[in-house]
Amino acid sequence: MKSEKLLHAIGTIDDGLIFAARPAEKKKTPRTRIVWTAAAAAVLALILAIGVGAAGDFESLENLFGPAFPGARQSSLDPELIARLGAPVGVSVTDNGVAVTVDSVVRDRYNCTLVLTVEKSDIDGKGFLFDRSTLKVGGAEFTGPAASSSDSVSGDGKARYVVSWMGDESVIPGGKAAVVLENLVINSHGVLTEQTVPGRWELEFDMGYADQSADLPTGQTLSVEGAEITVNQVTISPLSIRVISTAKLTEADMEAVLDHNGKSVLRERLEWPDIVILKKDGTRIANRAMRDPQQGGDSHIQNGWGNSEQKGGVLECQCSLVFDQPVLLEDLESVSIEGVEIPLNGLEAVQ
Amino acid sequence: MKDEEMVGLYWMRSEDAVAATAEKYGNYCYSIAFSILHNAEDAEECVNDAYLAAWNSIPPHRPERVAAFLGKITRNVSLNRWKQYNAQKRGEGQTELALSELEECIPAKTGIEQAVEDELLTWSIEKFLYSQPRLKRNLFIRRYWYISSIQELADEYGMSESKVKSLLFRMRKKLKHHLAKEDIIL
Repeated sequence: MKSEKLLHAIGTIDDGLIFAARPAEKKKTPRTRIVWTAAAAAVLALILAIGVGAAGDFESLENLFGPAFPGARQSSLDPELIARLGAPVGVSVTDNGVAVTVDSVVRDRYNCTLVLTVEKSDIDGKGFLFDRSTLKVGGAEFTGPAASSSDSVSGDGKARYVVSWMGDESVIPGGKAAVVLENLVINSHGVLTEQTVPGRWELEFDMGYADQSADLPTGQTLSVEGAEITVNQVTISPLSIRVISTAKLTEADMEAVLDHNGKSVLRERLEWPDIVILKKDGTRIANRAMRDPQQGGDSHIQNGWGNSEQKGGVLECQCSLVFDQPVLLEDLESVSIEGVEIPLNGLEAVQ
Repeated sequence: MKDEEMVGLYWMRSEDAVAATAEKYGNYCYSIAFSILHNAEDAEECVNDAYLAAWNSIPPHRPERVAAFLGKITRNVSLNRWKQYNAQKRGEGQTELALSELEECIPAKTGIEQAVEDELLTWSIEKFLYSQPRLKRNLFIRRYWYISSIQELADEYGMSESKVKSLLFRMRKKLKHHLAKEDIIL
């Protein structure tokens, strides 16, 4: 049976992958406060867009996106732009010969990004990440994170580490915060083995920096696959956009058309409406390519998720996208959902 | 006891090696076996078989990560036991579900067909996994290596079951595309 062959092949993957995924003894935390991420199909879109086929193209992949890919690589988020938008921090701690400094933080209502410096004498030219990264703020814990990337090409034993937490429905509060990083995992370039430097780095800082989210005017009616939906919330920030909408649909309506995996075609479409953000410089941020990689093109989206919840005869849908680069709100030209333009009123107050 | 010391006991052919293994990794191995077999007695037997397999393979092996080494042995022993039961129309639960889910990852044959060595397939899967954000990667491995249930994953990661399913669904689609792109035919 072919799937057994696949299951067997998965059984022989690298020990480091198995070890990193091991079940852990975790404290139960309220479900609404746990951060998670949905699939980043941008990876595949990039692969298809640049026509990558085999191992020889690893170099170009490493330079395009950082998270969890072996080898030295550039950060996908521009740290200078993050620093410009965010608040400087400058807190450091050292453990087991590794010094970690939080340089800056930027956040919006649902997401948070930190830029850190990691100092270790032999880190140059190597990709790395932390086995566990936890953000603690306002009594809540956010595990994950959504994405991280490292840049260790400076040659001075200092490497940049950008880490982002992407929110669920819950809001990331302000106030005193701490980031806890555990066990530095270092990949050598092009080698699928890992070196782990045990350690725990806990850094406290103030998350009191103002939330840069802006709520755009809502109430628009859209048509998606013949269903009428109402836009209830569009929240945009330099980091992300979140769209919440509702439709008068029942479970039976959802199950009218199913794909070959038994999943509702309509539900999948409503959880992932076409969102297009145009910048004044012509850059187009669009999630369509993430849903259908065959479309090609760069979505300019680092991560995204969509979900829905049936509440009686109404389906509530949420779609959240985190940009691959921070977007200055003053640089926005337009925002549209399923081809309907959303007014950019109210952005002046945030800028 | 550190892993290095434990491996040392095996190399010295000390009778304490298995006892030390059971004390440190017994629960871990049992949880892997039980996830596959959902039968306490069978899981215990498979764990004991795994200890015997470890005794017979160390030396010459000297595993750096004993947990992963034992976990792989336990998983293989348990899956073989599951196959026996499945052939006799026994067995249930997560292993069958995991297998049926993985059927989606198998691309249709393309114009280029070639035999696939097991190592090449594993390497390609590793490449795919390393390219994914860590949370999704770990969820995938927990589901298809550890054979954890959707409910266990939802509880441990603080998500709804529908979100776990959605994440895994998208990962399977991406793996399918990845294997097709690499001209890997099963």
